[in-house]
Amino acid sequence: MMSLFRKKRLRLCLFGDSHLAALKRHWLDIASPDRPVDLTFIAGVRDTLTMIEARAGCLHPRDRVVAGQFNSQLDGADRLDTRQFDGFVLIGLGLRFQTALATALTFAVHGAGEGRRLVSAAAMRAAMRDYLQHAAAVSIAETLRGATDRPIFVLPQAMPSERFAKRAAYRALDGNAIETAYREAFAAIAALLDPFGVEILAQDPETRTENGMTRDIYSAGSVRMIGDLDVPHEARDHTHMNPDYGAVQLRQILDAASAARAIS
Amino acid sequence: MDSPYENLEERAFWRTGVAAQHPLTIRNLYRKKFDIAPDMPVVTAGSCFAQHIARFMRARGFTVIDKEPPPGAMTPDTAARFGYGLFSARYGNIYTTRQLLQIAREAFGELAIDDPEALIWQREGRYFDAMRPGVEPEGLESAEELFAHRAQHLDAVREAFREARLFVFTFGLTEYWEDTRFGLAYPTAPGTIAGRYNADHHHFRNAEAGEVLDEFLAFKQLIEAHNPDIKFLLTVSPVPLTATASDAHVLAATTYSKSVLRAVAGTLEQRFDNVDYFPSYEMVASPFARGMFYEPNLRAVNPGGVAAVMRLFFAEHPGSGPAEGEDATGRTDALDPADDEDDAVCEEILLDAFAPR
Repeated sequence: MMSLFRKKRLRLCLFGDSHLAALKRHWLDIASPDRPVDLTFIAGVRDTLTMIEARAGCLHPRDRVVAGQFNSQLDGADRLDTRQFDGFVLIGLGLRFQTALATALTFAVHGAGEGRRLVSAAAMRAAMRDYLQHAAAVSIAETLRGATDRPIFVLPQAMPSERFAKRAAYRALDGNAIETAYREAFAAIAALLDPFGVEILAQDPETRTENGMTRDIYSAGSVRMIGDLDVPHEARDHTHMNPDYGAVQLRQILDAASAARAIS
Repeated sequence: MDSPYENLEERAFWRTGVAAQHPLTIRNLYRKKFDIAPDMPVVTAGSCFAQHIARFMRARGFTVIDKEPPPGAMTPDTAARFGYGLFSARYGNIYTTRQLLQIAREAFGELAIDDPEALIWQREGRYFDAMRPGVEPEGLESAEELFAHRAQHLDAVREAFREARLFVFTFGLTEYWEDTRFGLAYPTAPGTIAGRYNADHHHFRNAEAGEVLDEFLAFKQLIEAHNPDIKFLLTVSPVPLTATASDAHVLAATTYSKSVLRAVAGTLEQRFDNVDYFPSYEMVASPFARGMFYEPNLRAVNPGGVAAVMRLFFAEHPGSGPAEGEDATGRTDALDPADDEDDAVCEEILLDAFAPR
């Protein structure tokens, strides 16, 4: 990684929703002009960032909301010139695992769980695909790929935290069922994004418990960033992660971007 | 001398009952024999046309049982592709009374199909349930998995048949293929979706009226033994055969098949107080409709035809769904010619692939 940094500054543009806050908060905590990495954050709630179009290597807003976001997050620019970045990162943006876990409460593929309704692997994949195909990340990846051939990295949401698995409704899920649900949803995400030549970065195993959920130490103290304010998530929130998790994500991204640049 | 026809209603005469009526406004073609309350648990089964009945009844607020619902994340289109939501369990299309009796006997433990040769068709290393080969388009991974799925399915069928207060069945075909080694009837010919045709033991059958009647009576007796309060609503699919293996012209074969099924449905309706007949066949396939309810291929029923049939049904059984003037799905454009795709899931139509070009 250090050899990369000696070459030239690495410029990455990160798109995300509320799940971008973990990394952004961490980055703001550690950033200094001496670091050989520039990160530009484009954040928008829910599906707002899908309102973009690709023209001549640039992303243009298709509505006033995104125009406002570009304006405030790109120092007044009315478009995002993809040539100014070495790579792009999509974080969260609807790629989540809760639906797979909820499905796993009732359904199981053969051999993955007793007492639940059998469903074929193909049907389960199709169900996950049906759900995830509307994720903002899929639309943004497609548009982005229409504007640039530079690397695009995708980080789905983290698995929900340990607290989530302790809720009464989910206690029935054992580690095998959780891992199966994770793999099925991850495979569906990979299949949906494959046409756009992106690299999907799986959650670092070190951040997950033995039964597959995210360790509580990575979710405690998560915040929502609203303007200059850090607003803590409610205590019962189990999907948003904290800056420590953001640090893990940053390491994954820089490793992947470094590898991609070494190859190119 | 008085004539017994003297005081009959206008519906009893062709001129006033048919020639002077319009298919989109006729109301007295069907008169219910018994009420169907919205909270009456309904099981639906039959050929592809029966899928429309289930869909419209659900939309109208009837309690159509679904013992094998899809994962919640699935869209309705994907669910239909995997055989979910089409009927009250994932049995796929039940075209013949032979199939109907067979699955009821299997569900209630009178028939065990435990020989893999009898139940499993293969294609490209994948395993298909020969009794419902269309419900898993990619097949399953192993024979063991297939038997597990079938056991779960039979539990669902048994529960559905026990809980129903109304059994809606659409008679579809008299032609079927049988594996004579096991005496089992299949919904499609081996080799159409999966499996391999073997002339030594796969034999074509074209049921006679007596056989169809006996099979339905046996089915009825079996169901009533487990569910004495059940009623039956019978229809005949107006969809002609895609292909025949009978050596007759397909038009003559269709007439034979539909005539047999219509005669049996009529016999059952006349014989039993708890059996009603709903004339969807007459509504679509008779000269009354002037062919207007068929797609240009003269086989598939267009959305207008389905809507007209269901309007006739809901005039007698209003359910608790949309108001008068809307169709059961809440759309008011049921006759929109742009909406010309038959969305029923039919294995039988795959036979068209074998037609000469």
